[in-house]
Parts: sequence; C-alpha cells; structure tokens
Amino acid sequence: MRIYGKSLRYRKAVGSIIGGTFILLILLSGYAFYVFSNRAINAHQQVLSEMSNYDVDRSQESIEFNGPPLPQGNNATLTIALKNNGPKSIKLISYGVIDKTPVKNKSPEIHNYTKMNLILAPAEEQKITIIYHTFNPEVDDLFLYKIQIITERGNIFETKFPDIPKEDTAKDMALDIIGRVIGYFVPHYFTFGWTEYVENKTYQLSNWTNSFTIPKSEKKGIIFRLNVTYYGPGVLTLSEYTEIFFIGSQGSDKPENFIIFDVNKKYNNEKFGKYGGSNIQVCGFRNATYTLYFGSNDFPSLIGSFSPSSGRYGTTILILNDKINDKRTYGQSIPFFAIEVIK
Amino acid sequence: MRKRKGISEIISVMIVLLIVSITGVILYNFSLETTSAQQDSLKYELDQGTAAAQERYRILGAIWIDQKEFNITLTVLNFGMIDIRLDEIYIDGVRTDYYLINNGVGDKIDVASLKNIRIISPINILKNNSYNIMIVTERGVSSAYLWKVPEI
Repeated sequence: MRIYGKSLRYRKAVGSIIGGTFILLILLSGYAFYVFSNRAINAHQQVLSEMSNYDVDRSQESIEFNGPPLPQGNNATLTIALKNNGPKSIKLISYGVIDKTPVKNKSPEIHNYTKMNLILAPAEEQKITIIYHTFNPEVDDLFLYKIQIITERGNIFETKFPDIPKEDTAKDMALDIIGRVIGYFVPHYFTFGWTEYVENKTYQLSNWTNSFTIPKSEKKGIIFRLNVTYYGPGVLTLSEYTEIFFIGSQGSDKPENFIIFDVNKKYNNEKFGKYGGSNIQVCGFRNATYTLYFGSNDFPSLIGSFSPSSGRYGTTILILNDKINDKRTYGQSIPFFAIEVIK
Repeated sequence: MRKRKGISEIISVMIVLLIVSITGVILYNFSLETTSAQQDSLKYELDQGTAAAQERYRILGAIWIDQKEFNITLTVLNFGMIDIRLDEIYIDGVRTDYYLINNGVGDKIDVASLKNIRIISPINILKNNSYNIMIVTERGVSSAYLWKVPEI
C-alpha cells in the first residue's frame, strides 16, 4: 500500500507537470505571437513614420530658377541655373520638355523626358543643360516649351521657354556695355518717323561708360553710330527681360542689317517687323549677354548688301525697361544715353 | 482484492495522465494553429499595408496621340520606396478596358523611374475639356490626375 501510494503520488505529480508544461507551452505560443505582432506592428509603424518623414522632406524641397532658360549656341540646347533653396539635398532624376509648338499646327503636343543624375546640396547652385531636338521660341506665343525638373522625391519644378515675365515684374535693369563708347548723339536718327517720341531734342549725352542702370518703367536708348567704320563686336548684357526698339538709320535698311545678336539669331530676326515699318522694329529679349555686331564684315552671310560705309547715321537701340503694348505709351519725352561706338 | 484496487488506481491515474496529455496536445496544437494563422494574417496585412504605404507615384502628363482613336499616353513617375505595377486606369470614373500593344500596364515601374502607359480612352475625349484620370496599383493605391486637353 505504501508502495502503491508513493507511485500514485508520483504519477499525479507527473500529470501536473505534464499539464503545467502544456499550459506553459500554450502561454509561450501566445507570448511568441504577442512578440511577433508587436515587432511586426512596430516595423510597420516605423515604415509609416519613415514615409511620413519622406513626405515632409518632399514638401520642403525647393528649387529656384536663377533666370530663365538660355539657349546655348544652337537651337537644341538650353542652360538653366538651379538653386536648392530647401534644407535637404535634392536629387534630380529627370527633366522633361513639354513641347507645345505642334499644337499650333493642330498636332498633339510632345512630352519628352530624359534621365539625369544630379544632386543639389542645400543652397548649392548649378547649371544644367537641357537638350531637345529643337527649341524654336517665338515671343508672340508664350510658353511654347515647358521645362520640368523632376526630383527623386517626386516634386516637379517647372519653368518656361521663352520665359517672359509679366509687365508688373519689371525691375531696375542693369546694363553692361563692353566696348569703347563716347558720348555722342546724332539727331538725324529720329527723322524717320521717330521725332514724335523725342522732345525738344534735349538728349542726355553719356560719357564713357560701360554700365548703367535703367529704373523701372524708364526708357533709355543707346545709339550705335555706324558712319564710322566699326567691325568689332560689342557686348550687351541684359539682366532682365527687355524690349528693344531697333531704329534703322536708313529707310530702306532693316534693323537686322545693323545689329545682329549672336544668341539665337533666328529667333530675333523672326520678330523683326512686329510693329511694321522698315526702320521701327520691336523685339523682346531674354536677359542674357549678347554680342553686337556692326557692319557687314561681321555677318556677311546674313546681311549681304549692307555696307557700313554707306551708313549715314547708324543704329539706335532704345531699351525700354518695361513691357509696353502700345506705342503711345512712349510719350514725348525720352531721356537718352547717346553712345557712339567706334573702333 | 487490495491488489485489484491498487491496479485500478494506477489505471485511473494513467487514464488521467492520458487525458491530460491528449487535452494538452490538442490545446497546444490549437493554440499553435491559431496563433500561426493569426501571425500569417497579421504579417500579410502588415506587409501589404507597409508596401502600400511605401508607394508614391504620380502622373506627370498625358498626351492625346491619336485623336480619332482616343489613344492616350500617360507618363507615370514612381517616386516611392518600392516598385509598383499599375492595375487599373479610370477616366472620369469609367474603367479602361482596352489597351494598346505594349501598353505598359502591369509592367513593373522601378523606383525613381518613369513609365509610359498607353491606353484607349473608354469615353469620348473633347478638346479643351478636362478629365479626371485615376490609376490604381496592384496594392490598391490610387493616384488621380486632372488632364486638361489642349485645344488642338
């Protein structure tokens, strides 16, 4: 009986151990599930948090276009200056050219995307090159090309080409003229339909200068006098979008016979004659540095019959520091800087 | 008699141990299966949710290539943390059933890359009108784009 009793107690103890073990295993499996689910949820929450931070980073991306796109030598390349104004580095992965020129011809617009790989650190500024088969802008049809800069975080920064600001964005404009200039004025310039814009012929003559500023909404002119032989190029830097009047000195000569800008010549020439008349022309120019050529020796293929020696008066460039849609707004008083360019 | 009584106690104890063991095994298996199924379910849901949360994409633009056939090309940018595949496309709420050859729908769009998707609009497209294009990925994440048709 003692033996059986011990055996019985022993087996009861074993049963308790077995039962307890199973309960422990069940509890362990529950705990394992708890640990797993906890980790999985934490991992999920971490991803959500990372994506939330990613969205915040994306919202903080900021790229400033320092100036409009500038054509570089040919019709297939634009240069755009970008600056990262955001607090994080920005990786540029692609650029797009939205070509709306076909729409004019009743065809679908073209979207062309090109891969790129460029990182802009905070406050860093870089120039990028946009390549497309052709850029053929015209001033009358604004925003023919939309340039998209696409970042790795999915932001799109857009600019336009040609980029022509609205009237109210005019600012003081700095002009740099490189070349030998002397104060000189030839009033005959304004005998070809332009005397109405000149008051009392009280023109302010400039001294030797290579730069000056035209305040907003004021107008100044530069006279490039060609009755002396000049074959060298001058350089004109426009820091803002500018409308330029070309006043040809000879009735039969077109303005492009006097001055050719080496940047995007076709674009400039296409717009000559906008307001009619053979010697009163208007053209809009982007802010850029242009090289001015005088005389047929500099552009024989473009001019042909033009002879600087026969140029009696030369060419006036009237630079208007504002966008003007009506000729009458020029008024009767225009202060001029009269500058003669000689060699 | 005493000996028989002792044997029956042993048997009963053995039976109790057997019952406890079997019950324990059943309960343990049940708990394992239950927790395992719940783990799988939870893992699947979280994986799906996590992957979906990592998706970021957008339509950059749309071009109406063939105006007679309403052929449209969409450019999609994947800027998320995970590759995506487009599943459905809707224009003004109408599902697109017809795609062009090599349409790109269902193709993998890698991270930080663009993909052209070519579809046939299920509705008539009119010039100078706006349409709401919605695309949905396989994970069920949607993105909408307001397309203004140019006057061409």
